[in-house]
Amino acid sequence: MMLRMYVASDSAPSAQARRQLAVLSESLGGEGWEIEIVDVFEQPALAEEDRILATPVLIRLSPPPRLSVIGDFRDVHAVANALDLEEPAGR
Amino acid sequence: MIPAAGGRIEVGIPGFDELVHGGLLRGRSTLLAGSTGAGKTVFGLQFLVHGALSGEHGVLVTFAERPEDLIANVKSFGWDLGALVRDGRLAIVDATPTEEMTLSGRFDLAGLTARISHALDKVNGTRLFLDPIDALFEEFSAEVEVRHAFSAMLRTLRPLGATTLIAAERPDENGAVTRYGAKEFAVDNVILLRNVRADERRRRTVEVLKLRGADHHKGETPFVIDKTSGIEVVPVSPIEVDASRSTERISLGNADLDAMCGGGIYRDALMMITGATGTGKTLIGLQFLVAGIDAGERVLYLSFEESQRQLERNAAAWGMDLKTPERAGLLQIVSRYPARVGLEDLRVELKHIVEAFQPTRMVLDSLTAIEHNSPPKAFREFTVGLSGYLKGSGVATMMTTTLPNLLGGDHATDLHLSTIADAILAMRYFDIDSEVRRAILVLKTRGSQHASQMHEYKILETGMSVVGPIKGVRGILAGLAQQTTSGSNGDTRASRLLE
Repeated sequence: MMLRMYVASDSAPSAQARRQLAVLSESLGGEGWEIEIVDVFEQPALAEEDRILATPVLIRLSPPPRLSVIGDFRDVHAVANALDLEEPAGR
Repeated sequence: MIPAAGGRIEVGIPGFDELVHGGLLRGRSTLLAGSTGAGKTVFGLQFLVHGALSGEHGVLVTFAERPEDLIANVKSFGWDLGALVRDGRLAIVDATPTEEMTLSGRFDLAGLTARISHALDKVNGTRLFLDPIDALFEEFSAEVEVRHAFSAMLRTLRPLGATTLIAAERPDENGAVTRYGAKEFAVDNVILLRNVRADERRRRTVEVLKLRGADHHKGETPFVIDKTSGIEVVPVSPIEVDASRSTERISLGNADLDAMCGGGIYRDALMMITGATGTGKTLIGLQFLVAGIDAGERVLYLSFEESQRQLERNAAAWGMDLKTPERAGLLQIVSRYPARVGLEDLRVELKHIVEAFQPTRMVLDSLTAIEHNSPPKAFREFTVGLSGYLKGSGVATMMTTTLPNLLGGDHATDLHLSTIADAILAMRYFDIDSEVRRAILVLKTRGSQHASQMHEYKILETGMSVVGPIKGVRGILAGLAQQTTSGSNGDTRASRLLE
């Protein structure tokens, strides 16, 4: 599974989203997925390509269909659910 | 990039820049509000295209329509957005919704901000158009948060110095400016576009509500969206052009009439021809144009009563051949049914016709047909505006008005038009001893102020023939012809009626 997260370097929601991503990756374990973190101000051309409006945003690039979650991911389980990520049973 | 200090930026919409005394304040933001179909997108794109073609590149952010649809939709205005993009004069940021998204917690619009600032940088843009932001609010259900995020985005973009237009939907013509308030957008000006139906006609107006620290015209001003050139604002009061009035005289195509006018009319004169139906107004107009054609001039006939074929047939009956000069490109006949179009549209269309054909003489037959079913205010704006334009362009013009009564009578239209016209030709029936005869009077409003003597004329198969001055009859203009025993000539009492 390929994920990409767009953040805005200096914003509070983006900082919060990074922290929540760490929580999420811990609960997912390290296997079977990759994530790339992109700062929109450093790579605006890539943001243009993905037609990013809001940040932070976490996108499931593959497998299709493309799915995305916008926000600081205060509920990591909801995020996992929205992107159809498989969490280990029992949590 | 350092924002340009002060100054104004020409929007590029004919008539609008004059309204705001030269353009929008450089580097500032303007809210462009209007209901669906009010013309916001056309307005904003015209701003971008004008800039792109004059070296001020721009960025379009489209929230509702896909770029390819927008590009296709505005092709008819002659705007090739695709080419502007390829030339690096325009960048389009596609901010239409992508996939379904889930909202979880706080967010901002840094992604869009970064893309816009990147696009401005790429094309070295100084103009920015966001169209329309409502779609952004609809996409995210959190309205308060979007509002905050949006105003934060504008604050971030502001130092880049782009003059910005933000289109927003207006829920209804009489309500609030936008659904989301205007304060949050921290704009300096608000441009309101209205699209209302009055008397079965569409009327579009533009109003500038607030222009921080700058002068502007107050109130609503009509505008049109021309199918081939975009928006054109139609100023209500004409621009007075009085610089170099011509002193050259041209023939009316009838030696007797020329003599009555003191040797023809001025080359840039505006004449009104008033008379009841059948008095020969169209004939005078045709003779006037034929005189121009004979002198090798280009002439224009605007008919609002008869079709081109009817007019050609009538002219042929008087021995005038219109088809030959038409083929030679000396004569253009334009026939319109004014009930079908709004008066602002008509005025802009006539202006475009005159600009394209460049006639030296023209006849408009008749104003009365245009007046029918028009709101009085709109009609007055039309005649004053059109006359002002024609005077400025130096085309010798005849406009006819048809009087409602067969005998005499003045008419409100004539009274307000008589202040615009350089000369008035009053054509009247009069009856003496059960015989109906025709009389014509020239009232000059430019140069010498007094009227010529009233002359009797006849309409023959060969055209108009002036018989000679009428003596011993008074009250013709008012429709109260009476024989006088004194045989005093002229008709000074009645002529005062029209002055």
